[in-house]
Amino acid sequence: MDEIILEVKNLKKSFRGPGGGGKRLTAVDGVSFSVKRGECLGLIGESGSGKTTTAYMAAGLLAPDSGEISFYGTHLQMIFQDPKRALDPRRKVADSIGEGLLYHRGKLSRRQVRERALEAMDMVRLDRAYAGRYGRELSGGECQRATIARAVMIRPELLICDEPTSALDVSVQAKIIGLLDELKHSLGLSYLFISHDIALVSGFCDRVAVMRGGRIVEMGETADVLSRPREEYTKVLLDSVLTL
Amino acid sequence: MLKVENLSASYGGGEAVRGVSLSVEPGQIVGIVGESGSGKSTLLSCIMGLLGDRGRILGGDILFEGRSLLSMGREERRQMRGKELAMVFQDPELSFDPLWTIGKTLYESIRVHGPVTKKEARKRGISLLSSLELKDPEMLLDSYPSQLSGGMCQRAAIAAAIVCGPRLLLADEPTSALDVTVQKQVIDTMMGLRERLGTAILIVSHNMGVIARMADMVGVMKDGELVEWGEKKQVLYSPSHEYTKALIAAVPRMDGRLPHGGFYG
Repeated sequence: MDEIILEVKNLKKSFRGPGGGGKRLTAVDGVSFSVKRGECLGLIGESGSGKTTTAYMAAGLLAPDSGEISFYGTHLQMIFQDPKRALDPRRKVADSIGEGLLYHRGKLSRRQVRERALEAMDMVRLDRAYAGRYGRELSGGECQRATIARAVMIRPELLICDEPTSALDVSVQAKIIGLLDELKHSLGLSYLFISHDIALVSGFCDRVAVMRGGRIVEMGETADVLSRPREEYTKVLLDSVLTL
Repeated sequence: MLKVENLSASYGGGEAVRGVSLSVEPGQIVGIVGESGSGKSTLLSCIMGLLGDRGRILGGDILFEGRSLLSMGREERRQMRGKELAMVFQDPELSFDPLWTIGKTLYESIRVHGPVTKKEARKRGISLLSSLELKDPEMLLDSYPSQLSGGMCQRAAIAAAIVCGPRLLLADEPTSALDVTVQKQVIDTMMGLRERLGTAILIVSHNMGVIARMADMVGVMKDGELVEWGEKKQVLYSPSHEYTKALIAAVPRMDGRLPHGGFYG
C-alpha cells in the first residue's frame, strides 16, 4: 500500500484573465501530493478552487506552467463529470468502449477488441444488449457506466475522476459510486477523486485534500480531516454540509 | 393558504404531474423532493401559471386563499404574481435582465403593482436588502447581475421576488447551482424570510439535505405522482413508501460509508 503510483510536486498553472488584458488568473498555485497504489485520494473544494485544473494536469490533458508530475504506472484514465458529453452520441456503444484499445491493442484483432469491450460492459454491469445502440440512446447513468468501461478496458492502474456523479440523480450516483468502489477492489485501481460532495468523499476516499484558491490547505486521512479539521476553512466547509 | 387538489398536467407531450394533492399553510415551509423527470418543476409551473405552450393542465384545481387560480383570467393572475405569490429559480442570473441594475429590477417589480417614485422604491429596496442581512445594500442596488457572485445574485433574486410582500414564495432548486458554503447563506436568507415576514415557502429540490434543513412538511414525487407526504420527521427519518426508503438510503452521509445503491436491483 505504500508504493506510490502518482506524485505531483509544486504544480502551478495560470490562465489569461478575462478581457484579454495582461492580468493572469492563478488557478493552481503550488500543489503537491501523491497517490499510493490501491489508494483513493479525494480532492475537495468549492468552484474555482483549482480541483479540475489539478486533475487535468495530473492526467496530462493540460501542461503545467511549472512543477513535476511522475506517474509510475503504465496507463491512467479519466472519467468526466458530464457522461453525455464524454460519450460520442453518434457511435455505437461497443465501438466507443473499444476505441481506446485500438491504440493499445498490440496483436489483438478487431474481433478480440470487441470481445474485450463486451467483457468490460459486463464488468460495469451495462447490459450487452446496449453494445449496438448509439451513445445518444443511453441515460446519464448508463453513459457513465460506458465511459467507465472504456476506461477500465485498457487496464489502467489509476483512474482520475472529475466529479463523476455530480450530473446524476442521487439513486444513480449511489450505484456508480458502488461500482467504482467495487472496481477498486477487483482491479486494484487507485483513484484521484475530485468532488465537491464531501459526504460522498467521506465514504469513498482513504485520504482527502482540501483545496482553496489553488492551494491544498489541509490533507490527511479522510476520517481525521472530517472529524478533526485543523484549518478554519475546512471547518467552514464542513459546517456547510447539508445531509440527512 | 395554498391547496393543490388532484392536479394533473402534461408537459412536452407526457403526463408530468398525475393527481397531486398537497397544501401549504401560512408561514409553513413545504419541501418537495424527487429525481429528474419526477414532475416537481412542472408542479411549481402550474401553481405559478408559467406552464407556457408546452404544458397543459389536464385536471384538478389549485386554490390560493380559497380562490381557484385555474379559473382566473390572464390579467388577474398577472396581478397576483409578485404580490400574492412569487418565485425564484435555479439560475439566478436568468431571473434578471442583464441590462438592468438590481435597483431598477426592484423598481419595476414594485411599479407593476402600483405607482411609486424611484426614490421610494430605492428606500424600500434598501430596507428590504438590509432586512435580508445583505451587506452594502446601496452598492448592491447599483450593481448589474453579472457583477454579482452566484450566491449574491440568488439572494438579490429572492429580494426581487418578495419586494411586493407575497405571502407564498415558490422556489425551484434555488441552491442547486451554488457551492455548499453559499448554499447555506441562501438557505439562511430564506429561513429568515419566514421568521421575519412570515412568508410561506414551497421549495422543490433534488437535494435531500436542503429539504431536511428547511422544510416542515415534505412530499416525495416519482413519475409525476406524490408517493409520500407528511411531516419532515416522518417522511425523511421513518418513511413508509419503498421508493422514499430507497431514495433516502442513496443519500451520502458523513458517516464514512458508501451510500446504498441497491435501488431497484
